[in-house]
Amino acid sequence: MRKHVLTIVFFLILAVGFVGTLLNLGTGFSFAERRVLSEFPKADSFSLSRWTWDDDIENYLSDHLPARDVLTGIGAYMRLYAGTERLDDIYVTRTGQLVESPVDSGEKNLASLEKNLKRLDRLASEEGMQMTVLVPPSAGFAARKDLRASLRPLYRDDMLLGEITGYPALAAVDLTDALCEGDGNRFYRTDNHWNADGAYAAYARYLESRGKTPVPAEAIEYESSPDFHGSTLSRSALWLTPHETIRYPIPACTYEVQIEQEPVRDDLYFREALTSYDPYAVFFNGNYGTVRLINRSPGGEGVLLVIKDSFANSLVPLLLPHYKTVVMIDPRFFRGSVHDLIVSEGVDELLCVCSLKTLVTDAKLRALPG
Amino acid sequence: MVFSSISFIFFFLPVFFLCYYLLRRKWRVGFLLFASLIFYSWGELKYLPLMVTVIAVNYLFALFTERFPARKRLFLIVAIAFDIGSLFFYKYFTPLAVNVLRLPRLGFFPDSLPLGISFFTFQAMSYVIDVYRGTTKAQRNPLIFGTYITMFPQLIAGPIVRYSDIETQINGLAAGTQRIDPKNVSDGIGIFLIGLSKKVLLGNMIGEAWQFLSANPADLGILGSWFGAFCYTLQIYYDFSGYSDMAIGLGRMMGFSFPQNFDHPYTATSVTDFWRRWHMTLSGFFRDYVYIPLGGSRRGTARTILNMFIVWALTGLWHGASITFVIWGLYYWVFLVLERFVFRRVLDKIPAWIRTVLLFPVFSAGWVIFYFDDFSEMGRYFAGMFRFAAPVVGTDALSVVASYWVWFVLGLLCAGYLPQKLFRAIERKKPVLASVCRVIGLTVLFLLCIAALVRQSYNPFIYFRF
Repeated sequence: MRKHVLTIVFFLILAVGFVGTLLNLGTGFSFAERRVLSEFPKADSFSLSRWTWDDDIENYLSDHLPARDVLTGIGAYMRLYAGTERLDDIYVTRTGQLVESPVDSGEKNLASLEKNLKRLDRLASEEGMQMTVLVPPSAGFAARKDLRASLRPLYRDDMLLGEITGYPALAAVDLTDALCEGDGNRFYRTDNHWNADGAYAAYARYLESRGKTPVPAEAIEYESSPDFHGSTLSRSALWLTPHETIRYPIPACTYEVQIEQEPVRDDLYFREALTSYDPYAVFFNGNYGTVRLINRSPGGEGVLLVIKDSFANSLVPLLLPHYKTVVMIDPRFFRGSVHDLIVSEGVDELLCVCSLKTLVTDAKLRALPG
Repeated sequence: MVFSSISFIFFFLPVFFLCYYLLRRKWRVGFLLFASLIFYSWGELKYLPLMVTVIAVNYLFALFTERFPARKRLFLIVAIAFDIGSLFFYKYFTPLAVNVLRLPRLGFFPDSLPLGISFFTFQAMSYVIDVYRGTTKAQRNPLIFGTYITMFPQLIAGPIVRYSDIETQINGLAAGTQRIDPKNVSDGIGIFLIGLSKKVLLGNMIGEAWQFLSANPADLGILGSWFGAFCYTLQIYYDFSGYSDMAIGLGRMMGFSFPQNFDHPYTATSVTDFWRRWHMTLSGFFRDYVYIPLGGSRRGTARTILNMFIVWALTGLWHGASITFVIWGLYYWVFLVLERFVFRRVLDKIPAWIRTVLLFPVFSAGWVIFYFDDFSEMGRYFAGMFRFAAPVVGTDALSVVASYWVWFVLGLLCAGYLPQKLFRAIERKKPVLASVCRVIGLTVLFLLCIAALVRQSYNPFIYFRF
């Protein structure tokens, strides 16, 4: 019997994998990995001239293997304990923070950054306005002292952020000190975004740059949820990483929110998202082409147009009490004309808030219609 | 379909073995042929007719060679011409016509390399030559011959199994006299799992380091460049030998005994020794079917050197239609000639372990030639390996070294005899413990491999392109 143990175990594992996958084929979405699982290969996979059936079916079966989350987790921890703290595009710091790999500062990306900045510069100058650029360094750059020494120099965010100079219509606000120094972390440990403290630091720096006075941090009220798990956790598959608390500010004003053409709401937050696969969608339910916020309380002045990615979602609730109207457009989804929007809304202040990665790599930014 | 894939491990394998073990013994050979054709078609349906034609031509001409002795030379030449012609057309014609002769790419030019063509054409040639020489009898049953050529474990990446190696076993299978030995099954599973672990856990992980380093060779520094070359040296070994082990293990599970293809090549004490341990079935093919027929070493030094030149140029060319492969083959020719005719006495005085250590960079430099198709890229990489300028380790390279050194050290340790010696020592003193450790160890390795496969985006198989 002893001689057959390996044979039994081996074929048992094969049988469990085979039957389990067949039973699992109906699953369409991975909550843990936040992605739609591969579908059964389409008919064109069978084309003799472009034979991709093999790869397609491999992805499909791999996605539907039973206990896939457990297996991806084992794979991730195996790499981690063998000293490989690079988990695809996620790096693990000594304190267990999961940060995105550095934004590549090679020639291709420098050229891409230049194109994006030129586009923003032209957009503002054509309107005869100044645009403030509020771009945070990455969480990895901020946490680089906790990264393995050999990984630290890979984060060249300061060099990339230094490129935002020499554009007449752009004014960069430096957030490096505010987000990287001092006590406490200003980024989530399981997500690439800044946390409530980080958003406040950016808010304060921005208002100061505009000659306005920010509300003191202790005067801002927050709601919170203790079960936040962000995208870097999903991508790393280090499932044992503790979840953390997300705080979202309650604006000190009454307001209305209109997301795209949806009915007007009186609440910025979608709390049901907190228990979903993407808790960061508590802010505005994610990202949309156009979001309009109207401050109904007295004290707000002017119309602010924010060209943004998801980083702005936690910043805008802090800015809202200072403006009459805040309009957010996300270049990834916005289909209208920025000029028409500026005219129709009577915009008198332009702000660009996005991650360094978006500013450097996102081609949608330079394709933003004027 | 590769062995280190979810579709093979959890679908092809269980269905195949369930049917194979449950079928009546006489039907197994037919089922093996059927399954092997499915396996081949899964990856490359459009080349199935080529495979069938190679089988048909070699089957018929081997029969003719045996039946008509007066004209057997003619039949041999036709069969060999067909095999080499097929190999040339699919592997070398397009690069030669387009890159060298600068002809426009026409519709009939092959646009991809049929999977395993270098392996199955060589197997077919070895069979016809053996029949011609009278060392093997021609197989009369086309089903058996087809099974020999297409047998899926060794179809795509070897080992190059000669017909004589498995003639008795395959005939026994067809006759229904071959029994499945549970010990063979268990041993086969063990070999398969070790091969899978070599490929997935060591080859792929160390290969990731090489991927990072080879992508940007300019700033690696001299140590970073050498570390990258060492990583590729280990990657290609674990990749290819792991695949060979999986093939041998699968064969064993079916009752076949395939020849060994690797024997700890990086412990070699000379380049000659290395080639007795690396891709042994290919070296054996060139020795028996090219080098010895050319006269081997029996016709004086100059002729021996010429024969070696031919063999090593062909060995390089076998790997691909690129001049860099030929240079890689001739790189070894130079070392072998120097070793044999110039430095033999000097080398014999150096302790074996020092020779082993000194040879590792020699093999690594060889693999760098092997890796790059483009001379300028190769030159840039070599410049990094031999340029004594600051920094000795670039920033990017240092981060890769820091991230992958554990895998690298594991790779170095497992390339030697240490794991085997350790296991055998335990087995001698505590056989029960060794047996328990074997089962637990292999099960854990299997689960880690599956975990790595589910997660891995990097799972190439280097010898697929040959």
